[in-house]
Amino acid sequence: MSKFPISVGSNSIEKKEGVVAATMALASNTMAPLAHAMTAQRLVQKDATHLVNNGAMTMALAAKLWDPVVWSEWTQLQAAIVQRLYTQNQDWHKGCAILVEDYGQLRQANTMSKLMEKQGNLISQSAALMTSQTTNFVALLENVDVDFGYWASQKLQQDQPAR
Amino acid sequence: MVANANGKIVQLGSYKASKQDNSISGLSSGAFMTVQLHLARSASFAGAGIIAGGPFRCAETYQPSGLVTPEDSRIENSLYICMNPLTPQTGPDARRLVAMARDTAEAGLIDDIANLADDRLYIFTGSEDDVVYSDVVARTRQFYEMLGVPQQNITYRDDLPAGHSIITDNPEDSDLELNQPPYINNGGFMQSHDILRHIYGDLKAPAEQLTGKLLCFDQREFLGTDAPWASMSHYGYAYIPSRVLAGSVKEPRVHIALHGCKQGYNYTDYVNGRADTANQPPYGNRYITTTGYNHIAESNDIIVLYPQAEGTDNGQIQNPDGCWDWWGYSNKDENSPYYSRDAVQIKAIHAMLDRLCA
Repeated sequence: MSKFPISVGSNSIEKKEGVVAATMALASNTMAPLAHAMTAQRLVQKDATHLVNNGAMTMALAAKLWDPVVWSEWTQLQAAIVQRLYTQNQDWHKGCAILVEDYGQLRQANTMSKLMEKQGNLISQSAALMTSQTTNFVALLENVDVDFGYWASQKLQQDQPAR
Repeated sequence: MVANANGKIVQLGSYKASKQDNSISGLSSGAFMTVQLHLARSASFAGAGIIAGGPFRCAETYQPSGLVTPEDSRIENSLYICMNPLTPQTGPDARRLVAMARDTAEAGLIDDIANLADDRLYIFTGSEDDVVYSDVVARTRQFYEMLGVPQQNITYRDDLPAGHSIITDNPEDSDLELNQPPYINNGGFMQSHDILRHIYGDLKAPAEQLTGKLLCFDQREFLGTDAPWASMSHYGYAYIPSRVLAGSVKEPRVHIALHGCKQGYNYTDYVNGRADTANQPPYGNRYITTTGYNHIAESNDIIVLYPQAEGTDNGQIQNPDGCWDWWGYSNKDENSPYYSRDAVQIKAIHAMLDRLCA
């Protein structure tokens, strides 16, 4: 069910209040696009930082790949990433199968309003599937960034003399 | 039994409860909070039950250098190191977190670590849990052992193919291996009973009928001016056993049961980023009434306190699922970090315990 208002009161006061509320909301959010842009910039900067850090650590770690422990853990990391991608792929196929099944049920609508509702549901579900796939994929990228950086920093710290 | 027999909101009462022999348990974010509260106020507790939870200050495991702020870093740690590490090696580092816990105690932000030495712990992870991985929970056991809790005081279970859940024997609950709300799964036994039996030793069999009272109290009096940061509901619950109500129990014990994310009484699902307030809360008070705590508490004169967290997602606080704070969303200032004795949520919950003990 929509959280947005679906009808407007006929009373003029209600209309006036609605206009005032909308004006206030607009006024209080005039800086929102700027704040949004700054947040996006901060997050891109953060990802770039991870990338630079991880790149530097990868170079430093290259010399340690002869170590069987480091090599084995490095391989485990890659296997874990492949496993996560495989799971996401499975979820995508399951989601698509459900959508196809729902599409097949469109013909059961008895009224035009029901048909519209079912079509709308299908569109919403498709969008939800796409969103969840994209979000999960980006989350996996972040996971790899953070976990690789953490793992590599541990391996490199082992080289440093204890204080 | 209904949530509150007479439908009234009451003030949480005093029952001269024990000041040391209390305990705490929780699932998921409730388990992370259990560990935090256990360490922060260890003088008040004799044991803890941790279902799918990570070690103390887990969200501060790794701070990359550069432009990543501590706030961003804690969220990344909580998601990718404390919940879903890619491999066992990328899970939380128990040794580092033990050192941090000792430093925190030395700084006077939490109780003395030595209080933990005789505590009893029940730690559980389901082998099918894909929300908080078993590698993380294994580190929680390691963490407590390194802090000096003897191995014989710890029951550690990782042998059940359970999903992310508290386990019950209710036929209507989800199948054991599932990882889905309300995170209450049927495994043919009451996990709450196992927790309390491990902490307190031999307990009487759970009561067939509840003859005590489940009270609904106003939590806001315990929040005071901290309310805007707390992400806690207006109301909490407490089960008071019949003999405690009658005043015939000297120093009854208190058990604090902390729900996980999406399990508070007024949890509201967020659909496309908006609270779905047009519909009823999906699970209501199932964690309070169906997880078995009250029945074993009734027969053993244990008060059960159910503090409640609620979802907040307003820019300042990002907690849409109503989780307990284990990554710092409720940090009010640097003197009262989320894991400390003075943290907003820890202070409020302990104040509720103090009221029951008064």
